Amino acid sequence: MAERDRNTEGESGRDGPKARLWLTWWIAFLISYMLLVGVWVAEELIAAAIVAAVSATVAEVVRVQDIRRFRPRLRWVLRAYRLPPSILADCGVVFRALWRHLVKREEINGVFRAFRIPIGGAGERAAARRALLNAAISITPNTYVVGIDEESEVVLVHQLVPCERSLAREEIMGKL
Amino acid sequence: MNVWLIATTVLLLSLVPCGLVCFGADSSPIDRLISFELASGINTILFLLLAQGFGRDVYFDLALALALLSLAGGLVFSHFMERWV
Amino acid sequence: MRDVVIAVLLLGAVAVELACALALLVVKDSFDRLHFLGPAATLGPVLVVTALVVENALSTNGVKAILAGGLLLLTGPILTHATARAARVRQFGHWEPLPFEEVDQD
Repeated sequence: MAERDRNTEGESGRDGPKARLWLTWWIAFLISYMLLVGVWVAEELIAAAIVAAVSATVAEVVRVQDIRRFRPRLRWVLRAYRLPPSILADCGVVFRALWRHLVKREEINGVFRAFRIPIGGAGERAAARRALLNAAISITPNTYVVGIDEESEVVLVHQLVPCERSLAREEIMGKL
Repeated sequence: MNVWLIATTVLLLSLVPCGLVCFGADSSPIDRLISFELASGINTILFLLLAQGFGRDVYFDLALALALLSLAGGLVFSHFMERWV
Repeated sequence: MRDVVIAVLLLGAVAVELACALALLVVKDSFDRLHFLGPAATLGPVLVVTALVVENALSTNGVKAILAGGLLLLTGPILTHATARAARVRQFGHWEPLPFEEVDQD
């Protein structure tokens, strides 16, 4: 009896966060719909509310499938402010390489580099960290990630204009 | 003719190299995929420019839809190209 | 003044996209070609979206342009990574690094 009571309490305890999550999705979809439509009239608000409710339900159904958890820390996402200067600098690097190839007939020889960093782990935080690392490296034009092995903690990248081999890890990770 | 349509006309030229690589006899499947992905991005920008150049707001929605579908299409192709195509 | 700013931004965007398309023709290796998807998905769209926001401010059209440009910006690295991985698997049967590629082996 006590166990059944505890189970019931557990189920109702989970309903609160689920409802909050559904509401968060609903608000996000409602605002997205209204931003896209751009006409703030009653009919559109009603349509937005209905569409947002359907979308929020679908989003929650997908989320509870628990296929692949992704839970980044906010400070990881906030470090994105470092990316625009890196992107601009790398655009200069690749275009300079293209220019030298066209005008001076210098060969472009991109290389693969593999290095180890501590990014292993099976949890949702570790998965989020690997995904964000992948995106942050690949968004800079001179380097992109080919693969990340979570067991051996090896990252394989390709660089168009390669840096000094021994400095590869510092050069790539130092931008992030 | 306005500056948006002039930019669109010039930008259309960038689809020529994409087409040459995509349909070229010597191109590998991966090269065709790369040119397809580049062309998708350029087409999204073209829709944005056309929307502003012609003053047709609906083309902005097309650009948004194309940006989303380019991701889906590119991922599907690259997934199948790993082993099955 | 606003028209000059828009013209400069559009000139920059068109130049970036043309250069990336040209790179497809002149660069022969697939892995090297992939790098030129980067500026085409980042710098080009940012310049175009900036021009559109200068023209439209944050109206519905401006917001849609920001959303479309933002999508290109976010999806570019995903596509680059997925394509690179597919290319590597096609070439070697797996994507794992070869011994001489590891920088820690020095």
